[in-house]
Amino acid sequence: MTEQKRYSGINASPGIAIGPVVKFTRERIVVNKQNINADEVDHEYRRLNMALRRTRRDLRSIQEMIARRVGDNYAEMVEAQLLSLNDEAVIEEVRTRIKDQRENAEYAFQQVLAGYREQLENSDNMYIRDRASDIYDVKQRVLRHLLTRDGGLLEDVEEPSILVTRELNPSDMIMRDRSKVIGLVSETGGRASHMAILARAMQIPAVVGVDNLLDQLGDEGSIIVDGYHGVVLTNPDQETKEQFRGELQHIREFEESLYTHKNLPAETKDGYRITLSSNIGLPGELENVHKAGSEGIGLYRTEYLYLVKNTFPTEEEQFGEYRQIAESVAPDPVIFRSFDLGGDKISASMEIEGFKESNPFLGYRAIRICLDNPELFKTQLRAIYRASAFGNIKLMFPMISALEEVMQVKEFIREVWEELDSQGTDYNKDIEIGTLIEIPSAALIADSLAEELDFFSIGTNDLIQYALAVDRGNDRVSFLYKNLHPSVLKLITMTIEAGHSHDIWVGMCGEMAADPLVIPLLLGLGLDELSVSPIVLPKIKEIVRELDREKCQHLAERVLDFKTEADIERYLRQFMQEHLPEQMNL
Amino acid sequence: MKKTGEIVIKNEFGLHARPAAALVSLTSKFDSQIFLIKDDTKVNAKSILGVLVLAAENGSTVQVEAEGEDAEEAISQIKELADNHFGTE
Repeated sequence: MTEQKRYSGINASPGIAIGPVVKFTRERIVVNKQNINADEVDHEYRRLNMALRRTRRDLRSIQEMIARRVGDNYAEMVEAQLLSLNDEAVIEEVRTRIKDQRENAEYAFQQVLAGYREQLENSDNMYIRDRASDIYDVKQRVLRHLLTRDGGLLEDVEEPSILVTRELNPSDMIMRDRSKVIGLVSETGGRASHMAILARAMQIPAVVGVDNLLDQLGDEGSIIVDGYHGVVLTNPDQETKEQFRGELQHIREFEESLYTHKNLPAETKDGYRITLSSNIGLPGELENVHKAGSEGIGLYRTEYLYLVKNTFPTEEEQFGEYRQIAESVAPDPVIFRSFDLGGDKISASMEIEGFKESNPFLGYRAIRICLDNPELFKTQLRAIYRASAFGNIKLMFPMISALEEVMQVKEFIREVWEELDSQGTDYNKDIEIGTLIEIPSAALIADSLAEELDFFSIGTNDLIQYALAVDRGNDRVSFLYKNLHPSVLKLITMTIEAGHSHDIWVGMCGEMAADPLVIPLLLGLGLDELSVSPIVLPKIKEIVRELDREKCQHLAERVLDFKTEADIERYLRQFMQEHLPEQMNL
Repeated sequence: MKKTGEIVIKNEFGLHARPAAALVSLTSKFDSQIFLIKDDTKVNAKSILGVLVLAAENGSTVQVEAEGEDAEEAISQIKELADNHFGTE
């Protein structure tokens, strides 16, 4: 009996899964040349046709699944792959090699595709270079069918299992029947990786960035994936399994009970109502938004379209997605956040060779990239304004640090209005425009920002990181990252007061808004809106509905006098014990 | 019957996957053999991989060569498609 072992990674998608392991390794298939006889040529042709047909069938089902689960825009990722399978010129080349050189089908196919792939990889056009990996994927799929290998293809998962991989492509992941994949673990990737984004969209518990797990996995009976804490347990003992099963059951019952009040407002006992909305980034998540009883979308991460497709979306693609989202939640609002990309991602697309930042979080990011690339930014603004004719849209900007940036943004917006006016395009000029408050400088000048804007949304993850100068991902200093640091609460308070004194609403869309312990304080400080992942939304609503606004306000007054994080946390715990003891047990 | 023509790529990111797919869908409808020529590269216009390998950038000029009964019609429709940004923008 092997020992229970614990591995930590990054909590990429919440939830708990217990089940057998399927190791998904993308083995690189390389086939050798075999000479065939003249009378075997027809046989090789038939094998080739069969493999192409099966691969087409696989890709079509992947395409359908992507369209359904993620969004129509994303299904196009597979289109070029499908077309290349129907490429008569390519198939003819393969057949010629089989017939004239007497090569076996797999070798002939491998060589022909490898030739194209190499040419694409050497292309000067980055959009075309990106297609090289698609061609590689097609080649591998066809070879697998030719070799009738069973391993390595997700279609072959029989019972509900946990996938453990080095890395996973979107097309690998989405092809699976949701019921067959109950958990995901990958050795690479972060919270913004394809896999993490899609896992959250599909509500599959996931842990990413677990180093060297595959090599250490033997013939495990089952493993446990804890997507809340970013932990993977191998060879769990009976006691641990029971404990997690109990927890899983508990969570399920609790979640079911929460959905019963999905149509009730997020309102305190004494009648103070806030807006409780969702953070999402893919059309496939709309279902979760509706199921959770969310009041619209408080943060739509528009960069997911870019991250998943790995190319800049066109205006039409963006417009189609924004319109779909807006129509789906109308009359409730959706707040689109303009592209929030890091310099590393953008530099690859823009082919800035050798562009490397020593301090990316203080570098070329988010609104800075947009202001530096007017065409890219205006394309997005045009798509959003065009979609504004179809729903209740608001627009906000990430990483604003100064008033000048807001003025620049507004100048771009005016230019977009003029373009749309001259084209006679229908749009709504009066949509609300706001900013994320996630840089301390923005909180400190919230007063002057409020004069120019219609709302604030506090992004706590970055705000805390910048205020405390702590990288949460760095194990040596992460203990210094404190949600409840008095300075953080001061910045939040300043922002709310500045907003309210200018009659604009103030919300919060960071992880802090999803922390049950902090909800009473946030209500007491006077936030008008909380935007959280749809997975935790019902729980937050339940807490709001059991609170009393006046008591929360007293709590907030007391808390602002405390001088240390420890005192603040202790006080919040006491408050919860006293008023919502049953919530504390979760 | 052999006909030739010329198209200019007006797509922002060149003749990448989606415009190439639109082109191949169109050329495949014709009986004529159709080729695209750019610089020293000549590719089959009915082959998606061939068209991608051509990597025609925004603003580049591509020669079109068609041979067959419907060659003239093919060239005129390809020109129209190129003028319409291959239906993608």
